[in-house]
Amino acid sequence: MNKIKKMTSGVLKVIGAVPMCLFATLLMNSCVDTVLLPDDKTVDEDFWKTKSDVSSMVTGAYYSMLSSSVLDKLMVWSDFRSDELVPVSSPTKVALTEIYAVNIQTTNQYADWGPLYSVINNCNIVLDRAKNVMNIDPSYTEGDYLTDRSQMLALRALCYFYLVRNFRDVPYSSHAYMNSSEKMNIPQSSPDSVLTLCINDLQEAEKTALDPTAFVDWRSKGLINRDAIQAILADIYLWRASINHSTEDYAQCVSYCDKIIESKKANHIQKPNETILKDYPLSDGQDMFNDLYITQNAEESIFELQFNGVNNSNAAVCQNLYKYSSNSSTTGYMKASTLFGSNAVIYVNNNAGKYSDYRFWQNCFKVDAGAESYDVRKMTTSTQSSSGDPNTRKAYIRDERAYDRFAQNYIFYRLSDIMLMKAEAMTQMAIDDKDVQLRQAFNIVKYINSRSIYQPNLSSDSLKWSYYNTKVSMENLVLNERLRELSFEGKRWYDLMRFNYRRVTGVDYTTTLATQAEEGREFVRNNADMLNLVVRKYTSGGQAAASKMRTEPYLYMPVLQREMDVNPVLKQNPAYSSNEDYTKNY
Amino acid sequence: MSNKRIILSVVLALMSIGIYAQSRRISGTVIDPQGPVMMANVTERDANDRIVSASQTDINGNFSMEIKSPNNKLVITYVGDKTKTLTIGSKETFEIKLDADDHTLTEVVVKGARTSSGGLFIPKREVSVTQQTFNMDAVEGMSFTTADEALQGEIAGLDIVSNSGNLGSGTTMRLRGVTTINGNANPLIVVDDKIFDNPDQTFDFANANEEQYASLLSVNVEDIASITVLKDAAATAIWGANGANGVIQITTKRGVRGKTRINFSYKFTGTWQPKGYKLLNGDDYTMMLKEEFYNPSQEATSTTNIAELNYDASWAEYENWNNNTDWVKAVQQFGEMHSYNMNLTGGGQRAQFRISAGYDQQTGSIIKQKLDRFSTRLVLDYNVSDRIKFSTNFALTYTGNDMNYSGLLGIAQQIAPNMSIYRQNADGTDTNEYYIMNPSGNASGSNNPYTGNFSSYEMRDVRGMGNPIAIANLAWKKDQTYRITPDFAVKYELLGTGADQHRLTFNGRIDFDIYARSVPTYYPAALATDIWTSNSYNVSTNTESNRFKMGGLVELIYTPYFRNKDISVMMLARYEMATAKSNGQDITMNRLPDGIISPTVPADLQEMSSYNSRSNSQDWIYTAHAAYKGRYIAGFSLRADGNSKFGPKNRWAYFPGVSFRYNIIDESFMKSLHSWLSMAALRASWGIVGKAPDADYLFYSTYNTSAGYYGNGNTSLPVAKIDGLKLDDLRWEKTTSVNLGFNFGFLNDKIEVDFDWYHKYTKDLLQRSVSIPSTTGYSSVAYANVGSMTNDGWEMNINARDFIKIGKFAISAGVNFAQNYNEIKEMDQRVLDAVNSKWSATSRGAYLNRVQVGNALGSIYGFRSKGVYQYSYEYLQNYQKENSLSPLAYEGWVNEQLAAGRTFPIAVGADGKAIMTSNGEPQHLVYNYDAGSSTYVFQGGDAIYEDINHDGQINALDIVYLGNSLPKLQGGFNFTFRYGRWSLKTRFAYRFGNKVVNAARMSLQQMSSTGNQTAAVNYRWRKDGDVTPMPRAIYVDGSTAAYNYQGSSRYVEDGSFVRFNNLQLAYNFDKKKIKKWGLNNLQLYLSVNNLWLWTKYSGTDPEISTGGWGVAIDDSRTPRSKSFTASINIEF
Repeated sequence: MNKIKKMTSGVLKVIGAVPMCLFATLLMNSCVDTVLLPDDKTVDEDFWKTKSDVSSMVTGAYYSMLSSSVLDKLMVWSDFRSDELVPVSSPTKVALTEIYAVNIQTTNQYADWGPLYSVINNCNIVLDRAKNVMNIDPSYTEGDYLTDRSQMLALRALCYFYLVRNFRDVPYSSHAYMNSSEKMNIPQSSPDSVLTLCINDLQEAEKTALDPTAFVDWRSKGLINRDAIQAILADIYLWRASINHSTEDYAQCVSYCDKIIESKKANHIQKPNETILKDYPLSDGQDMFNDLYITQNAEESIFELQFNGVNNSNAAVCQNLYKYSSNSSTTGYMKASTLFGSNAVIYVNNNAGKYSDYRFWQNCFKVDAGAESYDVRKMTTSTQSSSGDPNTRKAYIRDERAYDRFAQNYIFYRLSDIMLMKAEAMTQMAIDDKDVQLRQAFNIVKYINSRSIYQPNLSSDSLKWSYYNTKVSMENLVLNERLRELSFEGKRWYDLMRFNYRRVTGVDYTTTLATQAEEGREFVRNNADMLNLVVRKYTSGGQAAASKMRTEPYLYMPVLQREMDVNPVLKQNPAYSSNEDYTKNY
Repeated sequence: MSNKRIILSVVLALMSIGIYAQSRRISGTVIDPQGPVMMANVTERDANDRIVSASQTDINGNFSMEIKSPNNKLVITYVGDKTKTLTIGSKETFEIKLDADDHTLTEVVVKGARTSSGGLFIPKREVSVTQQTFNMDAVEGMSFTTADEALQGEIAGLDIVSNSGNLGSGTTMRLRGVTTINGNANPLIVVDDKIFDNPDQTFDFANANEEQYASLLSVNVEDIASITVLKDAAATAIWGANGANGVIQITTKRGVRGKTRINFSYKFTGTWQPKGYKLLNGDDYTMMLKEEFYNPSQEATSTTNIAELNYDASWAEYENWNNNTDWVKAVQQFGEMHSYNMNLTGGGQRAQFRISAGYDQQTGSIIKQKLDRFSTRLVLDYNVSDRIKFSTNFALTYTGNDMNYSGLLGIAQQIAPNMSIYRQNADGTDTNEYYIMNPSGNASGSNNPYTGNFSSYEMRDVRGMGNPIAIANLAWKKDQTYRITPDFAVKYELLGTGADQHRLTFNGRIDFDIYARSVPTYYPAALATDIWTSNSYNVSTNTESNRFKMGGLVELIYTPYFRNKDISVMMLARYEMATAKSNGQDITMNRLPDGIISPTVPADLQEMSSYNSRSNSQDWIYTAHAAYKGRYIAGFSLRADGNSKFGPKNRWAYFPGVSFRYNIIDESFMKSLHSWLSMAALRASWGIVGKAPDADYLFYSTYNTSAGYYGNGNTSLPVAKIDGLKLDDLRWEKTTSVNLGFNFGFLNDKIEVDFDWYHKYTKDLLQRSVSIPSTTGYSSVAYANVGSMTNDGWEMNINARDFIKIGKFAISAGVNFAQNYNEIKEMDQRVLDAVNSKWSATSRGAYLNRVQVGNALGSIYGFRSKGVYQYSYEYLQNYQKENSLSPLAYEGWVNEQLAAGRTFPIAVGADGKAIMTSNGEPQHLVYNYDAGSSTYVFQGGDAIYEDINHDGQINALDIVYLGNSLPKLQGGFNFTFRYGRWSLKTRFAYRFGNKVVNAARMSLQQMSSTGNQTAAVNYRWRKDGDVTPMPRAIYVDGSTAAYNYQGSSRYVEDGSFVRFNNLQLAYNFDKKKIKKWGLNNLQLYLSVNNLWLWTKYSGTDPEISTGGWGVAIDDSRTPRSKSFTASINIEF
């Protein structure tokens, strides 16, 4: 009896415990969820589901290139390292001073290739993930995918082309990095192999490229279409041809240039006042400046990164050329060199300086009025130019454009660049001074030059064949015309490097500099003519600067020390590898 | 949703306890040997011993009551009689006879006091893990704002360093060294078994240790009963991922059964700043500055336009610049603290309660600092029956901390002493307007004090500091926090309740932690003569943050009953979960209209940001404790932690702990020693604890889909970007530790000694933002596991209670020692390269931040200082010319001079001989010959840095190890003397063998800027031949830097100290006497805090902590103040 009682009370106790356990279970169930997702972000698991996801990642790749950390570097690498730009006396930026003094440290901020790899990785991510979206979202068609893919392949190739031109030996990765566990340390490849990969990608991209006529608004210039892809191809072939002294590559360059020119011509819409169809769809000199840099997205433009000043601002151009830190800044970090002054070394045509060139007045401010007077007007002024004799109208004054919301596109390729590439390639392909290709090249240059000459002076001031009828003088003319036409547009240093490479022999683009150093090979000495051109910008110490740039490795930037620290398989450019033999006491 | 579910289930659980019943009336009489019993309690109790109905007997011992069930028991209790229990059954009248209780008055001796360990209450002598308990009674009557101050020097192995003397600034605590290189290294604070963390999500522990919200401010010291510090991993393993830095368990006071008592205490504390550096007065300051400005150019006109230094009566501002102002004195004051505390405690068998309220009002030892704190706590325990108990603990704290807008003491030390506080009239009398310097002139000198209302360009740094008195009075920063921490707990005995039964206890608890903070600041335009477009014109900011945290806990404790009394086992299984949500926002507005002090007005919005975050965690705990004969004891615990910050691979982490104790004293062979040896035990433990990173959402690739728009016009396209790499291989930071120790007790535990040795190995150290090759598209990963380190150490704690006792006189003493050696075992090269600063030729006063494998954290590297060059280089040249010495004779003469101990700025070889150049001159010593721009040639009067490698130049290769910031030995000791009702307590804390970088002195003796300097610079080098440790004064403008205050051994000082923390005299009134006044207790205390500091350190206070990777730097924070406290404690 007692036993039964005990048992029942035991059972009762257990029953009493049930609600408690219930309580406990509920408590557990409610909170077992340890997966927490952020409120303001989308996680990967929920992304890559729709067409708009892909589209915003594609534009995201372009957007990552808008970053001033990218454009600032492009400007310094191309224009500031060349004879175009010099630092202002105040404010000074150590990194710029180092470059100007040809004393680049491995900690120099402009040796950071990271921002370009960030763009590359964004392209890689789209290339890796977009394809699968076709299976999820039926509205994302194969056609959509292929044009997206084409843009990403081309953008990636463009970035690698910049890297090769500025670092020579760079790591190549087409892998989309998403996880921290992935293998990250990759060695540098030879520039030749990287360029070959770029060309393959671009040719692949060309097949399914965006049609240049697909859009009529900014998208016809702001997205990489077939014209843009061919422009990059032409540029790479021209570059490789100059290094390898290869006629086939020059021919390739010319053929791509022709395709672009044809495409531009075919898509040209005749303007009401255009009575005779022009040979090339280029704006006339006084309009050119407005169309290209003020209105922007000009007809003759091929690819330019879009800044609208609302969601983004072109801080790189603004800070370097216009206002370095705030609205009250009176100068940028850089100004034009004296080449653009009244001596007008670069505007000498037919052995005579001519002030009827619009560009002479449009590019810089107040020619020769004081030490800091050569600040750049191109891409910073928003004043529409008036017509009339530029020589009487003089240069633009500095107009007050706001520091922030700097809606200034950054132009990568435009038609006159392509035409001059073609002229450069044809000049090189000319067998001798009699070659008809020289005359053809001259005509292209003359067309570009003439459109910027004040019309009434055209007969007296346009280029005369008699002054440029040799291969050598023609090469110089093209180089000079490129400087006049494309100054501050990120071209000059590469023009000079091509000029140099054409004049030297023994360049081995299939091995890295570090390998060459290990094998004990002598580095190729740079061409003195080219160095003399570069050092024109120095008022003093030019020769010292030239002697510091004596061999090929010096043409390139060092690998940032931070990169060397974190990636043991990287090799420093031999020009910058420091002597670590000293022992430290700590 | 989850909250609602929980509440619902509680209600359900409660409802189910009600049991269906039927009522019936019974009656009876109660008698005992003395006759009928009046006022005896007659209660009806159910099977759970819950009172169902109750009655009391009348004058004749009769009672009558309605009963709910015949199955219940009738329990009759009366004081002095034995309690009687009857079954009711069908009986309706009862004749109850109570027996007299003989035992009631015998003294109850409690043996084997139990203590909480790993969630279980186990006898103190069976505690096998390393923990030390500090009873707050020991510091009763002393004045502490937070509990950690009371612990300083009391716990072996717990290194507590106060952050600053500013009110409410908290302390930095390190238990058994540092086991993390990132994030919070402070031990976990647990209040009543609830994690009491710092709710300020945005606080970066690695890089700062001041100005954080001192979490412990929310716990009133008066409410604390005791503090237990868990030291080894076996003890902290049950705190798993939170207990990696050790655990400080705070137990608050609860109600006690008995008559309701009211306790009131009042404390008055007066505080004042210790004496700091003796600074230059106005006259010496201007003298030094003139020399400083003259030295670089040696031009007579170098100071003509610096009107501030010229005592030029014709200048309009002259009267404001001819003073000897003691700024430091002007910012200091006698601070007062009034602390009122009241508590009410009491209760009966069923319910016990404690209600307390405290109010502190404190003014700082620096002007305009004020701290108000109001705290209240309500603790209620209600026993529904023997089986069920409900408890609640409800605490609320409000803290209002009016801080200075900027560090006043730092400004006061540096600002020009010839300047006046208030604008002065032409006759030199003060007006009531603060003196604010005119707008700064320009570098070219065309705007200077003589050309208009400008101050000198050269004095712009002084102008930039601002008038500290004006800042104190006109600008403000108010930190207000509210914290409410309620909890509700239920305890249910599921099986037996007696000692001879199996016991299974269920505990459930829900707790909340609600925190809100706002920090508005205001900086008015009146503090600087800037134009209204300036960014610092009428700036108002506000920071708001709040957090809601909720936790739940369910546990079962099982204590089986064994017939064999030698075996005792206890075990616990617990599930815990917590969820927290926090959000906050910052807003900065400037250019507000005058008179508007809040950023709510739409002025110029400078910055605005907001954040929110959520986190969930859950864990399972199992712990067990087993003892055989109370002699062989083993403990085991295992905690499983789940955290949303890790990927599926590493989401759950397991933290085990094992501990053993052998009470060797209980062995029969030890019997003979029992006369003097009361305890001898060996302990061993092993365990793992861990740490998760601070950031959320690490295991996701997140896409920011609102990153912006690309394109122009209305066809712009939206942009998405990926935020960073998904951390799929992140692991928990884990520390494995081994602990060996012994306990001895002598003379019936009058003297207790415990010793512990430990070894801690931390692997997978977590590091924030680790650089990765940028070829991946990212420059860093948010977190990575980067290395390992060890901490080895020992600690000893000796306590002697009343070890000397002569009549009414008794002495107690305690002393503890702790030593810790930290060593980095391995470290990812990427991290070393990123963290380790490289020597920069252009930086000044910087010490290399270096972490090296094989060395400890906190090592200091820099040049070795060798005094000051007595002679200039020109002195040598002149001597040679005057005496037409041949090169050989010249060399001989120079070496002679060197041998005689004279110093010249020349290169000296390893043999101590001058290095001569090819043209027969001694090689002039240069600074950093390589890097063009910052090359410098040393001059007479410059600081000497040892040319370690004798290469004739001072550069990175001359940097050497100068010491370490971590103490070699630290601890504390105390003595208590008692005579009758008087007691005298003394408490000391000490640290030995740590080095401190005295940056305060560096900036006060650099003589290269315009800040004020210490009086010691009066002994500076002025001419060839001066023998002095103080270099020459040389002004250095902006971009170029001075060479005389490089990071060198000159400023690295020994930070050892012994601090006389407290001296307290107390008198406890005789209870019998005060009974007459209606009091139960009356105590009076008088104490002096921070009474004396024995140290060789030249600064004010060497108590400086290190944060993260860094070294200990004394950057003239407000030193800890000195104070006295008078307090009274009354109990009714």
